Amino acid sequence: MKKYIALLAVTALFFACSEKFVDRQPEDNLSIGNYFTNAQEIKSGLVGCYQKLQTIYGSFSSQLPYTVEIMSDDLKDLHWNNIFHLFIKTNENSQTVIWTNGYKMIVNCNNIIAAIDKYKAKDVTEEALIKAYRGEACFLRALSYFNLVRFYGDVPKVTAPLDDPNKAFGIGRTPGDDIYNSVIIPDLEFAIANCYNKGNIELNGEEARATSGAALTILGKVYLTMNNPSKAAETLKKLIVDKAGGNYSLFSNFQNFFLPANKFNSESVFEVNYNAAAGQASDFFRWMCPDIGVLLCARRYREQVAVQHNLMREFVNSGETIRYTSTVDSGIVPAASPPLQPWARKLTPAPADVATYAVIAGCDYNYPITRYADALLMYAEALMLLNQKSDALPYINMVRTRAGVPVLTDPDALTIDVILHERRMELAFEGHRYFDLVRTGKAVEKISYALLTRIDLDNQIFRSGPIEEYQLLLPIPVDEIEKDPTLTQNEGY
Amino acid sequence: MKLTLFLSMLTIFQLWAVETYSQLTKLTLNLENIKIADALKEIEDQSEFYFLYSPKLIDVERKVSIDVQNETINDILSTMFEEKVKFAVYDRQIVLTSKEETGILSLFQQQLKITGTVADKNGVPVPGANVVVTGTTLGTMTDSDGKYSIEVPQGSNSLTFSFIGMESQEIIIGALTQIDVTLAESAIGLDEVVVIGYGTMKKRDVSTAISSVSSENLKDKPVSNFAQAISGNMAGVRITNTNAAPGGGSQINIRGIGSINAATSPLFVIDGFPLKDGFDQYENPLNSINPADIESVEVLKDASSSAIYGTQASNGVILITTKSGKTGKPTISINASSGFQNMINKVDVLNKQDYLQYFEEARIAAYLVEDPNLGTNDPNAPLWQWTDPPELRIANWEQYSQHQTAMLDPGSRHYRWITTIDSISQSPYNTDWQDATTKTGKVNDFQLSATGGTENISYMVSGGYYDQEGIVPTTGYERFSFRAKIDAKISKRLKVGLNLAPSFENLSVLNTTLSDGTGSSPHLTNPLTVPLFAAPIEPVFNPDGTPYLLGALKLYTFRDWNLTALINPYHTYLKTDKRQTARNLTTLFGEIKITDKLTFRSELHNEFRSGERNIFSPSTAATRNNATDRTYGSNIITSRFYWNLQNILTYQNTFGKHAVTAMAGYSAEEAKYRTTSILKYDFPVDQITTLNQAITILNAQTDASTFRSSESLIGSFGRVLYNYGGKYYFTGSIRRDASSKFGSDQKWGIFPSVSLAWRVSDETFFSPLKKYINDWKIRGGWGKTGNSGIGNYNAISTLGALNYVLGSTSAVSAAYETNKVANSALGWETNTDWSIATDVQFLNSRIILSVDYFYRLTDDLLYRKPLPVITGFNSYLTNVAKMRNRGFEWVLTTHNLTRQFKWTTSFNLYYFRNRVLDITSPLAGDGTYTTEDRPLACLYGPVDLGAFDDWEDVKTHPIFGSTTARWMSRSIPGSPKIADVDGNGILDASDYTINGSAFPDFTWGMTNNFEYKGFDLTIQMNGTQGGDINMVNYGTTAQGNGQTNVTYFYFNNYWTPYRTDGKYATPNRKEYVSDNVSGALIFKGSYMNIQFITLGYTLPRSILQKMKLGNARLYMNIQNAWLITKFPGYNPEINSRGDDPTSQGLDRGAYPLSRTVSFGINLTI
Repeated sequence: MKKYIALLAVTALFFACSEKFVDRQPEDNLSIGNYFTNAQEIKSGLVGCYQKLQTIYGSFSSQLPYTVEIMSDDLKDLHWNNIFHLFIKTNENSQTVIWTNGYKMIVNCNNIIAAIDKYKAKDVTEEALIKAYRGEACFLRALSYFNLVRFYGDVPKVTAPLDDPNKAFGIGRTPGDDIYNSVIIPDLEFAIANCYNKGNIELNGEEARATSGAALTILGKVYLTMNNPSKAAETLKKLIVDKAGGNYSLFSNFQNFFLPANKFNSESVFEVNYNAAAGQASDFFRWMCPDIGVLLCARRYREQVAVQHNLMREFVNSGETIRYTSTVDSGIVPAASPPLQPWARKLTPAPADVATYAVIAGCDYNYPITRYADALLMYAEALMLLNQKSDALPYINMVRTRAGVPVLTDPDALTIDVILHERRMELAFEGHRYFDLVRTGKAVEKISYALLTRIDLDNQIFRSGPIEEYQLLLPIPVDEIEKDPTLTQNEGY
Repeated sequence: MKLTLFLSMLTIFQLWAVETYSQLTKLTLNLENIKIADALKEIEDQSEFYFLYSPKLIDVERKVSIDVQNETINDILSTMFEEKVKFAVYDRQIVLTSKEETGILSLFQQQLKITGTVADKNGVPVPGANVVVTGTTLGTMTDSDGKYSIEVPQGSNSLTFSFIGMESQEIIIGALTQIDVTLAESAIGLDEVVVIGYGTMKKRDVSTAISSVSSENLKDKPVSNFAQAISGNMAGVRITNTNAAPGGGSQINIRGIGSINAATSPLFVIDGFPLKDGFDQYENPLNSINPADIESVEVLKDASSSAIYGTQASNGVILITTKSGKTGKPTISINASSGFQNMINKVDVLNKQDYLQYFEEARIAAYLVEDPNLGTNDPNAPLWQWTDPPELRIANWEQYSQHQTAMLDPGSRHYRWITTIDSISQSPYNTDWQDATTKTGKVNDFQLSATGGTENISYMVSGGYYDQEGIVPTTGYERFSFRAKIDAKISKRLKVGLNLAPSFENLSVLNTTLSDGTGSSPHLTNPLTVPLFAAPIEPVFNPDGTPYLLGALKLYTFRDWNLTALINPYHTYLKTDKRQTARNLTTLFGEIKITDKLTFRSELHNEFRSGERNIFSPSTAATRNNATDRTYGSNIITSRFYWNLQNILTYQNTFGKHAVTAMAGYSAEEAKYRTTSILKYDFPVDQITTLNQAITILNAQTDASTFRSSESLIGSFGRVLYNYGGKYYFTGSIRRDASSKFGSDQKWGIFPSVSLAWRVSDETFFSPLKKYINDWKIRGGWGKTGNSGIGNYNAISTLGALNYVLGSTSAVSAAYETNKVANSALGWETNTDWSIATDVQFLNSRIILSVDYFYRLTDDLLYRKPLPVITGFNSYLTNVAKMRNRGFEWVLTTHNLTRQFKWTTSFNLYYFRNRVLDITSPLAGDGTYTTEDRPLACLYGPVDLGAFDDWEDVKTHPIFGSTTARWMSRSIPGSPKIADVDGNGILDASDYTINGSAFPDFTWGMTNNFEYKGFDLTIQMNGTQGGDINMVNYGTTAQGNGQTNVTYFYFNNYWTPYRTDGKYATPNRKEYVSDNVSGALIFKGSYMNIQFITLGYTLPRSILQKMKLGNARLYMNIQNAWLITKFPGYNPEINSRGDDPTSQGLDRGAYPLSRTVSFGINLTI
């Protein structure tokens, strides 16, 4: 009988270890409770926010760069049936991806900002480091909100981690002005004060991180968008005149600015970084120059994009050569018959090099969110709006000189149209045109003109009338409204 | 109605069958001067009568003449023997005794000694069988060799032979002194034992819903897993053959479908070991269990039987019991079968001649939609005609079309869109792609087993080899399986045993991984669907024997034909996807009889499963766009180490009429998973496919990785089985489980159950009816079970690893982000189940009927509750939804003929109705939609109204694209017509609606067994009525684009000016938007299948003894003998996304069904 008792005793052991036995943590993943406990771990959370830039400005067709170009008067859909190109926006096809990715970056920033606020730095050096991290997270959060407000108008305001996901219901939409004043501007100001300047030794080998110069440039853009030229001028003056963000200057050669070899040059302010060798390839060229992609690449996208003749006409009429040839490719490829449509070549490799990238996932071309030329033109615009036209001229002329076009001499001829023209020539395909048109109130006129006017080979019309003001905002994603009815839809949808 | 008719026919037949055969049978004989022995033989040949007599006692050499017409056997025999012989007729059996000597016998032989052997069907002796003089208590038992000897008192009529689990047999003694008996396994014996969770019980005492099948149902069928052999055998258990490829999976759902986001597959328990395997479409985990090793399969269908398995039981439990060693002389059994397979249910697609007509008509339609007057108010519209000749079409397009610029450019060859190029009719080919891509498959199955033992130790060892070569090239399955079971009685009270079951599998599946980025149209690359779309005017191979390019870069002379780019299946066959699985199941158990009534049993189970998958794609495997492809290969290794410990204490006792079995137990288990995967590109040569050769790793982070996870479960459980005199039954069970998968607030769950049964037929008031109804039981139960079939760590918020390059070099910085929402309240799904049923046996168990009603309410369904994405997430897993399944099951078994010619029919019918009662937000699946008050995963899309009849119809009905200027969407007569469901005059996504449900109206199965002398015949059929299938990938069955082949089904029914009542849209080179015509792709999946026909012949004992064999049987089996269905695809049981409950009834390309004809032999030594 003894041995049975022994056996029963052994069995009883299994009853004892029960509670712990069924408490399991993942072995191949970190779980959130035990992380973000030192500066290095906090940095990895911050890099997680940066990584979202590649998602937001990613190359796939439904995402931000594609949408913002196709909605402007610069690029067109070859099939003339893209709803963003033709401004046929209905609730059924509301743009969800921009919303989703934008908030994903915001949530990541909120999480890391909360982690930083809980963290106690060991010493003063670390204190500065942690503050810079926080500044960068604030910059990214502001950038994301800025995009959302420009695309959707009023959006839900979330600035802290949501511990209980059910609390995300019923938040509703916060007025855009409130988002600007209570989130975007304070965030950018914190970033200006705490991020490193361009060229700071801390940024050696990590030049893709946000700087106080980047925050100043975006803040300038924010003020212009808010129609506050004096604040814009004040902010941009700090960058350009006071050099408060470090030394910036225009890169000598316009064509070569975008080459991967010249990343983070003197003109670079903030870029989305790509690196094929590290498994983070850019493939803008796949949609920006789809025909050549089809010819030479293993993969193609359905959305086929070509340059609007409207844009090419403006290049030709203004006598541009350097910027024209480095922005638009004539479309002549010997292998193609019939000749291909002209394509955007600014952020894409030369046709001869495309074949190199055909077998791999993509190339190293960065996407410039903003650069010094943008800042200079914004500063000129702000001064022009403040009627300090003569003060504005040198800045616009810096850009023109680099591009090899004659300088402007008559201050009185400086109008918003001149600025917009300059911006279009200089910044085409960099995601600025559509927002420039919207903030200057020219969007309905210019975009309708492009859609309704036959120019050169663009000799067919696929829209019956001009676009309407309400269409300049995207509809709030219907899926999101279904989940939370306190979200209201934009007017007109 | 049909069913009622069928049932009443069976009843009539039954009544007729019980009438005495001897009274009904009339014979006509005309025999001149022959021996009585020969006369008797003649009667045996003409009828079912057979005679028993001793030639020593009866003079059968005497010659007689008989001339009778239509006389009964009594009259004939009276004439023949002229009162010298006494005869007694027992239905078909006639015993002859000598009148004169009876008296002598009675005087001198008070006792008659009878000896003989009792064996089972396979010739294996049955030790311990009861031999009783019928109607007395006199009896004996067979010894270990199945032999017996019994002294029978004078005047005894017959002996009854019986054994548990076998059908009793009564043999008339007559003058026989040796009686050898073969006992058949009972079809539904009440004394049969059934396996229940953590124990067994007598079938007679079952008060819950348990279906069971025995090894009889599995034998002789050349299938790789047992589920294929028994689909349709059990009411309430729906086994669908969703993937007919070798080694492919069957989907098993018990009593409806139990979940939306968690597992819907039942729990499989093999010899007490609950497995971790569920449904897998491509690689059936049940394959590793050799069907030949299975003794019985029991299915616990209701919660009152399955609640003992707690959180794992809500989808039902399937208990598999393997064969065990038997005490007695060693028996060696060999089974070998070999067969071949051919494709059935071929899809009827156009031949060359009809293809050319359709090709031209698609181009005429494309021409007509460019008519410049369309959409204008011109009273003369339209200008262009269907009958316009090709030259006029080209001229019109050059002048008016939107494509005029391109038309004028000879390089664009736009005229291919609107006319047929001459060279097309010059094609010398008329290819039948389905024939070209299928072949004759082969199935071989060899089984060897040995069993035996002494009083203290018994063993069973077996080995099996199964090999199947599929009907589609490159597909095949091979299995080596072994099993050893040793039970030893160490002392009077202690028993131990060890089971080992290793298996090794090799599976080769079609490699449909795509590298050319055309994944959005998988049907144009899938080697199972391409044969339906490829044009008959193209060849399969080039003259040099290499596969002909069907892709966009067609390097052939007929480039002008303008066909859709496809991938030639023979290019896909160059790729490989090979999977190897090694698995070992081990069980060690000890059992202590603490007292006679109290037993403690401890079982330790262990499984190690290791799978390896190798994929390779050579440079010569063309894509849709290129003649060659970038080479790539991958290697994925998974392993699982899993152990389970169970301790069970059982108490069994009877006090007078009270019988009690009480059980308490505890179990703990842990499973650890590991995965390694590597993906590399650029192999220098195609011949060597190992990854050491490859040059490139594209993404260092994702393309070379390992993963680990683990899960654990502990449970304590108890059960009481009580009955009073076999009349009143009570069963109660309870289980408390904790699972690592759930949140910290919801780790523990309690699952109780109760069931009651009443044997009405044993009540005294019932006795007058007992003659007709020998057994009648009413049973019912209630219980709760849980579902823990979700992934690990779902309750925990985790950080996902990412990286980002912060500088201009390629140095990456580590990045982390939250990739899951934590939910500490995440718990199991609760399934509450009520059932009521009755079992009735009529006419001495000749007719057995069971009717079950069940009602399952599944609450707290795990559901990905949508979250506003401002949380960073789209949804999170929580317990919110509610769903109901209810239905009926009928099982009718009739023993139509029971004597020498035996005929048994077993029929079952099952239906369930599923309804989602509560869901926070509708859920879209793949072409499906789940919403409240509807069945799960309804088919969803536009409502197809066929084609526009005429211009009047086009003008008065909303058309596509009324808000866009897309030329593609211009409507003309013959264009697809879709219902404007919301009535707003615009056709768009808001007109999508529910078009059907994949769940069938009912399913049924019927098995007929016939036995006559040495022959046996089994015909097993099953069928499904209703249930919709969306042939999402077969767009051309409802819309042709003139670029792929179509079915005759479509060809004979599409709109043309000469067939304006055609119900499908005209083919059009300018394809319609496929979503808009998808409503026309829904078909009923009803079918009837003669699933198996098995014909066997067992050699007579006399021959066997000469050959020194225990048993020998030859058989032939036909699988899928005859399939009747109107479904136009390959497989009416297809469910392409069967692993996802929210996407039901989709046909995304099926492996063609085949008919297997195999021949085999069973030998027992």
